[in-house]
Amino acid sequence: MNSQDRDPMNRRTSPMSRRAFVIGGASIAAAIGSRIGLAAPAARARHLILFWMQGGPSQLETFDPKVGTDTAGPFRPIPTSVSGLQISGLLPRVAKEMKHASLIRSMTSREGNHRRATQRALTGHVPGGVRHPTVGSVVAAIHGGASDLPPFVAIGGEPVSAGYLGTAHAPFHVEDPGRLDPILIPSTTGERLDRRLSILEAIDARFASEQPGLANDHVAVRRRAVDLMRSAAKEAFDLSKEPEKIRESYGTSPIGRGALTARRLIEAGVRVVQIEQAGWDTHVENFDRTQRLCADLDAALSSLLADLAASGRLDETLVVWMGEFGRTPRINANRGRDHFPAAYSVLLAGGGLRRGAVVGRTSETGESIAERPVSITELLATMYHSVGISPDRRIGTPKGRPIDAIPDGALPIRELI
Amino acid sequence: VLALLLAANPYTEIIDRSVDVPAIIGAERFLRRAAVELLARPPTLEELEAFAGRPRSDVVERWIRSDEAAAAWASSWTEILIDPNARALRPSFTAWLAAERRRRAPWSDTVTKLVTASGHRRESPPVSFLLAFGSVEEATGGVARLFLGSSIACAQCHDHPDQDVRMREHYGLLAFFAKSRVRGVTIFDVDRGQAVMPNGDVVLPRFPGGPSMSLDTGEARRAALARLIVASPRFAEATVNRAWAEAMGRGLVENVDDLDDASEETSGRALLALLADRFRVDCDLETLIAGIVGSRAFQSDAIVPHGFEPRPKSPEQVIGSLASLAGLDRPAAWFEAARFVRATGGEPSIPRTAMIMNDRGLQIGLHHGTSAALASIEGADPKEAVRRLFLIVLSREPTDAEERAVVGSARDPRGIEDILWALAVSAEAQTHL
Repeated sequence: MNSQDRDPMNRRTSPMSRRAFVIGGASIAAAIGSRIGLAAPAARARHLILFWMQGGPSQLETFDPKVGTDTAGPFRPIPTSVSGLQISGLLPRVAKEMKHASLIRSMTSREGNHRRATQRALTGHVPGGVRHPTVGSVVAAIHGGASDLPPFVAIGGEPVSAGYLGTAHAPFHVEDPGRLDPILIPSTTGERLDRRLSILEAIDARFASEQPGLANDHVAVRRRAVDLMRSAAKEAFDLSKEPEKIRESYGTSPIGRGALTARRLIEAGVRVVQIEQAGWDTHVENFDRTQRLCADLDAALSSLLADLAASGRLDETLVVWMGEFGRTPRINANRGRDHFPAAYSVLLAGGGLRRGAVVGRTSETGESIAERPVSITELLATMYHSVGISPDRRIGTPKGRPIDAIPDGALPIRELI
Repeated sequence: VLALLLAANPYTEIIDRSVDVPAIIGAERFLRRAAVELLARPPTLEELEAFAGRPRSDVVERWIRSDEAAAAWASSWTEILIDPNARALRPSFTAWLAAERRRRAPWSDTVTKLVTASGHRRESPPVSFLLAFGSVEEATGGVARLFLGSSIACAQCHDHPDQDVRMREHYGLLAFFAKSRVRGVTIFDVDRGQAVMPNGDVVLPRFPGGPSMSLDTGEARRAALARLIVASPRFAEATVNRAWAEAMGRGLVENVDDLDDASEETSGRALLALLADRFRVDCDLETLIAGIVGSRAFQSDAIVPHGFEPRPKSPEQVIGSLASLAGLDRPAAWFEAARFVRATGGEPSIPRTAMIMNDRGLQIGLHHGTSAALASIEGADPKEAVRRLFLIVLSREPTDAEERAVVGSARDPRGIEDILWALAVSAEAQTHL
């Protein structure tokens, strides 16, 4: 145990430890082992797209609507392309694509604080102590990228760390999806850039000969940055290359532009894309706000599912829709719903998982789980399974301390695999 | 000799007696290391020339008493005290912290203000400290971690063997905040409020290891908490250990957030105890930092136990170095634009490297910086120009091989700019050496 394990953002890192942890996956692979020797599942999915609903989305206004209860709210459920399955009327286009997806309606945890619940949901570990990487960083670190593009791109929200995996495995953060970030446009080009880079190589070569442990990470990352700057692949970030009809279908909202960017990035070889839709913390005016949020989400998620299905990429791409918790069936004095980790919903689509299934059930009012509670670690084990990572996978910290990707030995949800 | 001894920094004396350092770095490297640590930028050409022959403790004294050092320190301690995601709260908090440092407020006074502050964050910047935690549970854990070096937040773990004991300890500390309320960006205290455990037990305010607080003294709960924190022996140890970790790259107890971590080696604890004893006298953080930077351990030429560890520069040091090179007067907007440098901490990353290579503000700055650099080398031959450029960015002269590699580019302003760009992007410039 050391401070570096606990805080990857802090800079108290010894040269030794960094030397032992080279960027790019080779040494990670060496540091990773299997705890009890379960074989890795045959990797069906190659990509993960995670719709992260920041603030905790209301399951009642999305995928677990209720009828005829005091707390059901004003919106009516509608039928979907799965026989017998209804979702909220706020998501009519998603309803048509539900044949590609499955739902878990019985997610449950005990974390009702945003920050702690977010860490728990994205890492599988109880917050505190070691800073664990998010599922996106783990997948990207184990599988690596397949192009000049970064293996993990996060769209919207605040930049997130990769925990003990180190910043080399943190996502490339896109604040404003749709355009190419100006920092990827080289400040000089052609012969002049060549001249600058040759001077740089000479200076870095001397430093690397004297302080290899300190120089090598920098040099490796810098070369990847130059490759990206000079690569045509970076156009995947630029939505002006898409037909207007397609852009309209996804919507011009941040989540719409994010989802279309995600599709382009996956096509260009990016391994993981996390797209954040902010604003789901609807303590006040839940119904007005979920109506607006769902309008943007409906266009973005349905267009992405339809496109991936049509192109045949859905089999190799796992799409997950989730937040840090759900919201209370009880409606508060501000017409809002409060934090509710006890019973909420998650959507999974593609990635070789079963389609059209519904796992678990909440009670009539939604106050409790009536059937088949599902833990966060079971969800993550299912996600890892889908992308070919065994649930008993171990990940080495920079100091070589092995940590289980799934801390409690949870197994994938068998109803979905 | 007596006068010199009296004037010497007490911390430096303790450290030099305790840490075995076979050899220390040369003058240029020392000026670079100390300037990056104290001012978050490399020394200027003028400073390199003027200070190279001066006693090192004089240079440390001169730099550490400057407003620039107060600003640099406030910026890096904002990183420690305020969650990186609480972006809006940071600028006014940093300005307040710098003012505390400029007037040399004892750290115990500053911490008391952080724990007890009330009001709107605009009128009362220290309230941002508690606001940034976002919840009373997080604030409780944060106060324990930052000021007591105690991982009491882990008491929230559901599966700890001493769950009940730890939960009670956590809720006892949390109870000091039970009458405090947050509305928007204002903190205020009310008459009512209790800490209730998940099992329904009401918990009285209780400082770790102490008795429950008597409720009939009339002392406000947060004021009582601040009083108990700064009187705790853990306060000085946690503060000294954190200041040490900032300067050296590693704490005397490596886990700065948890001094009780049983897996820690113990070789640093004796020195930490000695330094903490001295710190309790006046809680003067400035003298402590000057003492650490003035020590042979900080100036060690090799990596030795409890000595300086070369490492990637912190975000503040990266930004500060680039801003000084580009002649930018650290404008707030540029700091904000430097989001990638912040977001990725001290470690290299693609966005951070791309930003240093391509950020437009920085490119314009480097262009104008080149003019200034040119002015300083006017009439110099290309070899002298290269020598000065290396001193400006890396605080050292080029090697023969480096000189041969770049001197051909040093014949025109565009070439000078190219060399400056390459130096700014180099791994060496990103490293706290």
